[in-house]
Order: sequence, then structure tokens, then C-alpha cells
Amino acid sequence: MKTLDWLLRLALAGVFICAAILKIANPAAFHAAILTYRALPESLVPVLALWLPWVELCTGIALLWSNHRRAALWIVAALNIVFLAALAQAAWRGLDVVCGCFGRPASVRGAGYLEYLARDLAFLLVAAWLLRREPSSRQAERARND
Amino acid sequence: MDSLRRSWLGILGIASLLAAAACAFDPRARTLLRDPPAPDEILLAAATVHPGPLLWIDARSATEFANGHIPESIPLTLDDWDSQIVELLARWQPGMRVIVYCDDRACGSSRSVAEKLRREYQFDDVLILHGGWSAWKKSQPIPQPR
Amino acid sequence: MSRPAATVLPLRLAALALVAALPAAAALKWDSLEAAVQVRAEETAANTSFKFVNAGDKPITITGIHPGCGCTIPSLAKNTYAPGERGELRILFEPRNREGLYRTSITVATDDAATSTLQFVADIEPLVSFDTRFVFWKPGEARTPKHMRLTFAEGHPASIAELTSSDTRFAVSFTPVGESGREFDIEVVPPAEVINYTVITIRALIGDAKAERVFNVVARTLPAASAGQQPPKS
Repeated sequence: MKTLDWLLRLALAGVFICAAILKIANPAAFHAAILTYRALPESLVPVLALWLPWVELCTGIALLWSNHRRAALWIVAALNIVFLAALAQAAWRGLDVVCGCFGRPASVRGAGYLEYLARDLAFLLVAAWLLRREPSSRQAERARND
Repeated sequence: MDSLRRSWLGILGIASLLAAAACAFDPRARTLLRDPPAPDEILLAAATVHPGPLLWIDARSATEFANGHIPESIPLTLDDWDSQIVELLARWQPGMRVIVYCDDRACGSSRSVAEKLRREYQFDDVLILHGGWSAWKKSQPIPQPR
Repeated sequence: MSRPAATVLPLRLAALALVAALPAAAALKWDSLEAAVQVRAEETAANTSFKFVNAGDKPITITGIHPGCGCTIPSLAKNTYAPGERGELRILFEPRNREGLYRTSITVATDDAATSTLQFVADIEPLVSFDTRFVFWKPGEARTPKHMRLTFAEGHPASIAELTSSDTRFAVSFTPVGESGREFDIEVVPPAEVINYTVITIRALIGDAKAERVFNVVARTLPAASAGQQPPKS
């Protein structure tokens, strides 16, 4: 079971770190993608486009660092909830969005939404599962103090 | 709970510091903050990674077009609209993204051309190249003297 | 109350510097730097002018006129004006395909190294509006007739004199719509198997003078989707 946890954590970290690096490499493409969701006032979009990739990068790295794993998993869960909400509102409004997820943008329309919603839901479930499997903070303190 | 809060504050704090450093040192990040594109505009870096087919429209004068233009672009100006529009309509396919450019940020002809295409020809994916021809020229490698 | 001596000299120097720094006043003085025209729907051109006077004490020559667009055509009676002489820069504005408010500028250069920027604004009344000017049939789509609706502006009675299709295999016809006499429906029937486009020319007669105006719309039967253009590598 522990190896499974470790593999899941590695996979999650890998996804987040890769996605972050691709976004940092092309901020213009990520900025254009966020604009298609029409969920934020224009002036905030450049700030988000430049800040979010670094949050993803630091979170991905923190997933591999035992002291900060719990916090990182909470952030992963929170991020995926935000992504799911953004996709859901775009699907509901019938917008054609661009998933800026991995640098190279992919158009999302119609049935394509289901694929992206399913993927983010999977990440959310993996994060939730790993959180449950993490020793609680009190147990971790005790383990460290022993 | 304390160590958890410290952890995620730490992750977010370091991410913010890195983002700020990127803004200070990455010229693309600086221009994105200083001069973000409008919702109907696209940055060159985002245009070149568009997954689908593109059609470039040059809204500058005939002389400027003859002196140099984005490869495979079609000239289209309000002055010569009737003769030039036919070539565009003969090349366009549904699902193609149309990007209109003129000299640089300040010129209005690309916007007039884009609005006419949306209003009278029902094109739904028309964007304006932020920075225009100047942005394209800056992105081209400088030819080395032989 | 007299100022202390220590501040008088710096103030005088500052005033001198300010005067020296002022740009040499341009000798060409314009009555107005802005001109506005109204272009009615049936008009294809409008005239206006910018009047000026040589307010300097030397003859001045206009060395260049640079309009911001090809739609404002300048003309001058002559290039050199004696001191005190008045002149007029005539502008012929051709709206071509423009509608609504249109702004542009015209830069005038003179041999005293000064330039003037004139602002030109036109309010162009649109003559006709189309619900669309382009219809197409996708590959596999049934080749049923498609329609385009054109409406002439109020107050401008018009009739369609002629409707032609560059590719005669596309059949085109028009019918007046409604009571106003200003709306027309154009029907395009595509050929069964052909892949091509056609330019449909609408020759209309406007107003009592029956001024002739020509509009183009396009119909096309699309080929199977090709790869299309790829974005140029940057």
C-alpha cells in the first residue's frame, strides 16, 4: 500500500511540475487560455497567469517532501476544485475555452468538457485519498518526537 | 494545525516570491503585466501554439504588404475590401482562426477589419495580433551576414 | 514687497531658459486643426478643407502631406506661400466601405522643420446592411438554397437593377420583402456537385437620382477540410 501511495504522489507531483514548467515557458499562451473562461475581470488575468504556475511548481515539489506533504495535498485539492468550477461554469455558459493546462493549448468545446472534467476530478480524488492515508498531524508530531 | 498552516503559507509564500522574481527578470512576464492584450487580441507567442489552422490577415497598405508580411497572409483593407475579400472567403474553412494585424499597437485598421468580418460575414473566431507587424518582426531571428 | 536679491537672478535665468526652450512657433497657422464631415448614405465622396495662413515673415513651402489612410486625398493649389498669404488644403474623402464614425489624421510638413497634425472626422451614414454577406455549404451538407437579406437605410428608396453570379452554375434571384420597399431577399441555389465559390454582384439604384451602387456578396461550396494553414514558425 505504501508503494502505491508513493507512486500516486510521484505521479501527482510529476503532473503538476510539468504543467507548471510549460506554463512558465509560455505565459502568453496561459494568459490567452484564462481569458477564454471569462470568469475574472481582465485586469486580474495577467496576475493569475504569472502567479499560478509557480504555486503549481512549489506544490508539486512539496508533495515529495514529507514535512509539507499534507499542506501540498490540500493545495492540490483546492486547485482542482477551482479548475473544476472554472470548467463547469464555462460548460454551463456554452463557452469555447482553451485548456491552458499543459502549455500547448487544446480547444475545449461540447463533449470535450467531459474529458477535462473527468481528469481534474481524478486528480481531486487522488489527493483526497492520499490525504486520508497521511498520518494526521498529531501522529506525525508524535512520530517525530519519538 | 500550526505546522500545516506554516507549510501551506510557506508554499504559497515561496511561490509568490518566485513569481515576483519572474516578473522582475523575465521580459515576457513584464510585458504581460505592463501591456496585456485585450480579450479580442492575441499575443504572438499564444498565436503560434494555436492547435488549429490559422489564417493571417494583413490590414496595412499595399506598399507595406509588398515590403514584407507574415508568410501566407492575405491583404485586406477597407479601401480595397471588395476585391480582396474574395480571396479570404475562397481560402477560409469553418474552424479556422483568423488573426488580423497592422503596424503595431496603435493602428486601428486591424480592429475595423476584424469588426467588419465579425459583423457582416459572421466569422466567430477573429482576433487581433497584439503588437501587430512590429511584434512579428521582433520575434524573427536576425539574419546573419554571410 | 521686494524680493530678496538672491532670488531675482535665478528667476531671470529661469525665464530666459524657458523662452529659449520654447519650440520655434510654426509659421503656418491653421484656422482650425480639426475638420468634420457628414457623408450621407447615397454619397460616395465628401469635400472639406483646412484653411491656413503664413503667419511668419519668410515664404514657407509645404514639403509633404501624409494622410493616415488612402481614403483622404489631399490637394493644394500650390506649395509655396508668401508671408501673410492664405491657402487651403482641400481634402476629398471617399468612405469606400466605412460606416459610422471614422477618425484619421493628416500630417503636414513644412520647410521650416515644423509639422502640423490635422484631425479629420467623418460621420458616414450606412446605406445598406446585410444579415450576412457570405453563405457556404460544408462538404456533405445538403445543397439547399440559402438566403441573404439586405436592407437599405431609411429614407433611401432603392431598387435592385441587376443581380449576377460570377459562376453561373450558382443560380441567384431576389425578391422584395415586406412593405417598406427597402428590404430584399437574395436566394442562392448551389450546383449539385460543383466545388467552387461565386461572387454575386448586386447593382442597386439609390434615391430619386437613381445613383448606381454596387455590392458584392459571396457564396461557396466548401471542399473537404484540408490541413489548412499551419501557424508560421516564429
